[in-house]
Amino acid sequence: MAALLNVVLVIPLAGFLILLFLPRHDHGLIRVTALFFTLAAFAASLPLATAPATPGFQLETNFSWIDNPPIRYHIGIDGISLWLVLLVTFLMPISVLASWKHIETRVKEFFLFLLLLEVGMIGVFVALDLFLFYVFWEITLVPMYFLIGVWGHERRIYAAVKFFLYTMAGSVLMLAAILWLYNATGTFDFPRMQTLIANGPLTLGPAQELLLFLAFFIAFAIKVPLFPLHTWLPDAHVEAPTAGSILLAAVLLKMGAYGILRFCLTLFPQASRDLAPAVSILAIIGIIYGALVCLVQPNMKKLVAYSSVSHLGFVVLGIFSFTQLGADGAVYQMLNHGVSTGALFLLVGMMYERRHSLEISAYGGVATPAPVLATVFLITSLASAGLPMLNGFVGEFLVLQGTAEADFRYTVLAATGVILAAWYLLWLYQRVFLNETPQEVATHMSDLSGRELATIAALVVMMVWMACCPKFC
Amino acid sequence: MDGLLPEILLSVFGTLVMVSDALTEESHKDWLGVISLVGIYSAVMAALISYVNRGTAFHGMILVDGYATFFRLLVFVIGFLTVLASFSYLKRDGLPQGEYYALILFSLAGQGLMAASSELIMIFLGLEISSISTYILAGFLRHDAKSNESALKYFFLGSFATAFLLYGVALIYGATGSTRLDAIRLAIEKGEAGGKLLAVATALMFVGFAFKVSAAPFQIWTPDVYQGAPSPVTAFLSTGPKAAAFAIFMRVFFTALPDSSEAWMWLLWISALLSMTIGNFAALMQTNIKRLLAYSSIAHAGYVLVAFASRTRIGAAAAMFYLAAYAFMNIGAFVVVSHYSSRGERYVAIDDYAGLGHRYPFLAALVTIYLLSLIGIPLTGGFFGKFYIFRAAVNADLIWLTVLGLLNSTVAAYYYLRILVVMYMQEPKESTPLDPLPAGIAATLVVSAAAVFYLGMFPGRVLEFATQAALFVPPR
Amino acid sequence: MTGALHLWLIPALPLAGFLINGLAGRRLSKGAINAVALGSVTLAFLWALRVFAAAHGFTEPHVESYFTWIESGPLSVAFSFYLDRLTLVILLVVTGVGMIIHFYSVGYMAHEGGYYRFFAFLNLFMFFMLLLVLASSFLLMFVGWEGVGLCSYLLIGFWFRRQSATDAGNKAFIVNRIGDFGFSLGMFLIFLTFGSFDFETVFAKATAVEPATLTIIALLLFVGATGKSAQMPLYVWLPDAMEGPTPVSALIHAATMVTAGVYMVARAGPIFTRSPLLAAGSVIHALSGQQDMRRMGGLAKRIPVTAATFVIGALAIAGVPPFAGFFSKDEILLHAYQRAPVLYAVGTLTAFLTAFYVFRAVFLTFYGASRVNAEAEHHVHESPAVMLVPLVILAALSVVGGWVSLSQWLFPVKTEMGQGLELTLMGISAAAGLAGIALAYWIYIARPQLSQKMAEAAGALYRLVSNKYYVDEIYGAVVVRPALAVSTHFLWKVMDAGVIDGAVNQVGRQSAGVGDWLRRMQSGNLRSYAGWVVLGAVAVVAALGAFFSR
Repeated sequence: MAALLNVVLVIPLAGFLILLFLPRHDHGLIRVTALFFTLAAFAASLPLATAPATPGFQLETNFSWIDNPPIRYHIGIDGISLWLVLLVTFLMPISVLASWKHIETRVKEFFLFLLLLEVGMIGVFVALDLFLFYVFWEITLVPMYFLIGVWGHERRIYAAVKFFLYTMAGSVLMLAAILWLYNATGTFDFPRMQTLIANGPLTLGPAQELLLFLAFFIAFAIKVPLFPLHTWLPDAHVEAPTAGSILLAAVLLKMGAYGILRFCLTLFPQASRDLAPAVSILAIIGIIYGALVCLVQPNMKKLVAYSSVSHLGFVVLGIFSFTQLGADGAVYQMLNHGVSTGALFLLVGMMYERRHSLEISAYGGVATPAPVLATVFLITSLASAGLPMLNGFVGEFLVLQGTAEADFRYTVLAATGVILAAWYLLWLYQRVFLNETPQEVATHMSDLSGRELATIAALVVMMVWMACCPKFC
Repeated sequence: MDGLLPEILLSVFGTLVMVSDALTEESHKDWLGVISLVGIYSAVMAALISYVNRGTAFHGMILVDGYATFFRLLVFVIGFLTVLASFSYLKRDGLPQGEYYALILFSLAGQGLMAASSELIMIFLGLEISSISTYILAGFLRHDAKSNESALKYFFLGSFATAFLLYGVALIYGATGSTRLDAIRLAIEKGEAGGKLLAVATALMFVGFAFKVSAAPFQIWTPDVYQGAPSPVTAFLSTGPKAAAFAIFMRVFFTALPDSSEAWMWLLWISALLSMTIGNFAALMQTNIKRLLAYSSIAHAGYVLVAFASRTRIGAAAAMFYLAAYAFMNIGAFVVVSHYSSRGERYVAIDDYAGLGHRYPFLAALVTIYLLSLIGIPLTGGFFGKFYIFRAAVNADLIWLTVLGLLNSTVAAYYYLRILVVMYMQEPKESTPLDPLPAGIAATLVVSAAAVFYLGMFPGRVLEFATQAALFVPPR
Repeated sequence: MTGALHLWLIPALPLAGFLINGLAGRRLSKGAINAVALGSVTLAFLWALRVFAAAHGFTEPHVESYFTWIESGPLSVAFSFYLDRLTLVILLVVTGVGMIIHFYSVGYMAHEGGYYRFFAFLNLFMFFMLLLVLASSFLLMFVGWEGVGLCSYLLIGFWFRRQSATDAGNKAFIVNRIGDFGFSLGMFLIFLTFGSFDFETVFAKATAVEPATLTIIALLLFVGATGKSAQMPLYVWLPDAMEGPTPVSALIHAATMVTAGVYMVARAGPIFTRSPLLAAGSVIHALSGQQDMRRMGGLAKRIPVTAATFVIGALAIAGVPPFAGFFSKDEILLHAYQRAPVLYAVGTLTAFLTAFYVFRAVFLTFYGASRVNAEAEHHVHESPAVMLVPLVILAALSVVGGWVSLSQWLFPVKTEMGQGLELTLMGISAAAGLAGIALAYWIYIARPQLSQKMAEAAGALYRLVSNKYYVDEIYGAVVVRPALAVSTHFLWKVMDAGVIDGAVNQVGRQSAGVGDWLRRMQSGNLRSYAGWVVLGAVAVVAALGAFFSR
């Protein structure tokens, strides 16, 4: 069973290597190969869900990678990372399918980067050695940079470079902190470091702990992104190709939240608690601010991007409520956001392929020519708005309930974000899908093809399933 | 004789190349390169042999230890790759092959000598042998004004700086009565050396070495020289002589002057920060790729100085490792530049690389690997090197220098990314014709890329060797 | 209580109908759509009847638990249904009325497009409504609660090509959400206070909790009910709801949505009754909230049975003896008197107002001149026999049960008759109730022109408040447009693009500036280079000299 986790990590890597040697012009073969490997990784990851629900890490593999400094290939999963790994493997075939027709130039490179990204993303969630974690963390930057920069829209270069530099500026601080911790503990091994800090012998002074916390936290907060470190996100989202947007929103942002949960809270518990009010307030500002800015966006992708700022605010809020409910809710919200926002980007991408515009004003009355598209878009929007019986609700509910335990005022403020979410999503929906259909919309907007429907259906099924069976391990 | 065998071999082969050059017909001059490669290869072997019989030689003037051997092997490999990559360049631009290879070999001999010297006069000798050869190499494009300018500036400023070094050596001798590094330290420890004199001597030697490694504030010559010199020569200059200069810089300061390390540490600290900052920020606005890489090499010298400033064995090992990693990625980058520039180095603007990713995916992929390593993305040697440098700095409580250095590497990412942007994300302006990759260049590029990955993924053995070699550094 | 009643079948049937029609309806014939939609609700109703038959004799609530829905730390919410007498009644009403609406719609929608869609929505509505009714916990109730809001959105915006319809749909959902905001906050407090969402647990502990907390919870839940039942200030969506397929939509919202509000208040009875200030308010909400009553009137003649049951309920709620509502109210007031006479005074006043408002509703809706517009009037008729069955059964039960009044079904409370002071207080409270009824009668029946005069007297203010157009305008001017303007012109363009992203880009620009400056430092002039080297050397010598001489 422990080998399984390695297999999940190796399959996309193998796909990457095999793709490297495929003929560049045989696009069909390249696509099918990419799909095969992403599906294989998904299939391989499914048995992970049956791992017994015991506390601590499971399915560990741990051997020395570099002797001195002692860097180990140490991977494993627990109840948090397990689901995030599944999220990655689940979304990868969808991303491949989303790029099936969308990507017509430099097809080979595109799928190479996609597979490399998968390796990085899975790696981030399974790494239990801080060095290894950092390696995977940084590795994800490169393919995403290219995905945005090469296959993106008009301002793709600006967006790609901004994405890269912004994230890197944060992560170098984390590297400094990792080095400091290594210097103090002599290990990069996360569980070991956690023990050393929790039970002594390493005691951090308050100032030290605070600085270390901040160094990690800023790196993660940029990725989440937490207000006011979010401005790279709208640019990156808008400019990225569909698969890039999906993975960016669904997975890369989660890496930030995961990092906070995994490292900040466990390694620096006191600093985390001390700063919880400040962080919570930033999260709440993000929730409301993101939603309000979202409301007035004329560009669909930008709207969805700002909605991520708002939604991820809930995640951070849940984490810093320091309650079981809040943490569970945050994790669940991470998964939910991955599925529903991923689906939103997928749908927007499908619309872009037809109409070649992301401006809301270029649409209207799409429901008439494309009823199926309209239906799934509505379901997805409602899921994103946190309607019960769809996935978004459970996470938000748990977060807010957890927060209520910490400070009821936070709950009151954050819950207004739920109202605003309904507003901006339904308004978007109205302007794009309802009312009269202009002629040019009617001619361009054909309904979903079988491939498209299959892709999105997987996500819709997920939305319902996650709403009904959210039992936690 | 073992102690100097590599240098002797290199000199012999250098002479052989020169003599053969006069005796060979134009059509057979390709063989000169092969002879040079054989020469360097034998020097590598000799370096290994002399490592087996390590110890001092020539009354303590030569010290063959792990440290010396590490740098010898490094500069020889650099030389080997340079020669390999120069075949097609020399033919393309119709340059005299014999002189070129001979000068490379002599320069390598000088650098080997530097690496293995434990006495100031020998160090100076090695430095001059290396330098004078490279002065000429920088001006090797005789009909190119920029190349001439490069050589001239390099020569004048280089000599100027060497004068500082020489003056420092003289003062040290005056202060301690010896030029042997270990004897100097003993004299200082016994308190026989005059404080003021020693201070000035240390400062002047610092200036000389800092100039040679192009550390701020003595970096000013670097952009002009690197830009004007023929690209393969720049590849060599920015790696080989620089590594050797770092070798003696650290050897002298750690072996002879550890007592005042508290003082010169601050010089290193400031110089490191200045080098990183000036190098990185100035590179932001460059339009010429050679000049950009020149500024980047100043910044990279800054990173090595961070390791140096930590004044520990870990730090020295980190510096050594980084110089090795940097050598491969930088040679790779400059060799691509040299190949892509075409005859007369016409295409050296960054914008000339537009669309490279689409037109020559393999070449572009290689460039990407070097650039990612220069940025410091994990799994490349550049990343592990930086990681280890800052690990040493944190270990030595240089937290601020670490943070500033790491932030600096973010600034650097911008200009490396700009090259990637141009290569992959912009359409070509005109379709610059490109010859197919010559075997020599292809081999250099592939070896460099492989080395970049090897050092990034499996740094253990090289690091182990460097750590052993750094044992000469006195514990703090 | 024993024996599974398979309560889950009741909501599951319309859900199945929704899924079949929703997924495949476009390819089904009208007959098939009817069979699925009507069949499912009819079966649900029949099953509800069966449940009623099996369970009406139960003396304790019946709970059926199906699976654990959400589990996290101390929180565990089961997907389970709760059945007591209140549920039974409402269950019959909802399935019955719902079934009628379905049947009725067949004719109404016969010539409309989106036939399958409409019936899918109706089925979905039934599902959520039944979930709401059967829920055994506040959380599950909230699921139904929000779902019903969704269906309002879908039904009101049914003719989605019409801007006015889609506007109305959005408005309905968003305003409902504002109400749900209150509900959810109330729910969070309930869990904080009681450690559970289960009705049984919460009610069992309700007596042990401070009235202040309960008051806040009740207030918040009340906000939720306000949104759902279209009360001021959240009623704005309802007039526009007529954008949907009219009679159906109207019926649904009048008959069922308000029921939802009533049901929620009734369900959460212990919370409300323990919170004196809101007890009355909740009752006001419960009955007076339906529609814009000023548009009705004289319905008693058309729908006598409904009117009769309504009046009985109203009397109970107005606290007229001997209906049980009197006793419960009296107990509240007694409690209040003991704690603080001020509360008692306020309570009595609210009792008076309760009676007034309840009977204002009764009189306006069922008696007096009809104010229903022609089109709507056409559709108003006594419910068909099938719909009346539950009411008849109810009435029959009342008779059979003797002293068991309708309100005792709705508000199961224990009564403790007191002596002396208590009797005085009872008298006062009964008088307050009767006085309220009398006032309502006087204003709305005896002197119908009076309210008209009052309206004229208040003039502009009255028009402003009563006219939905102005209220929309006010919301638009006070909330919506400022929110959009601030978001666009300040948050987005100034704050986000200007300040935050501006700062980020400024870092980039400044770096480039520094780079440019450094680049220009490089003059290319050899002498100046040499100068720099000398300068650097002097600095190094000076620095080291200074360090050594220390």
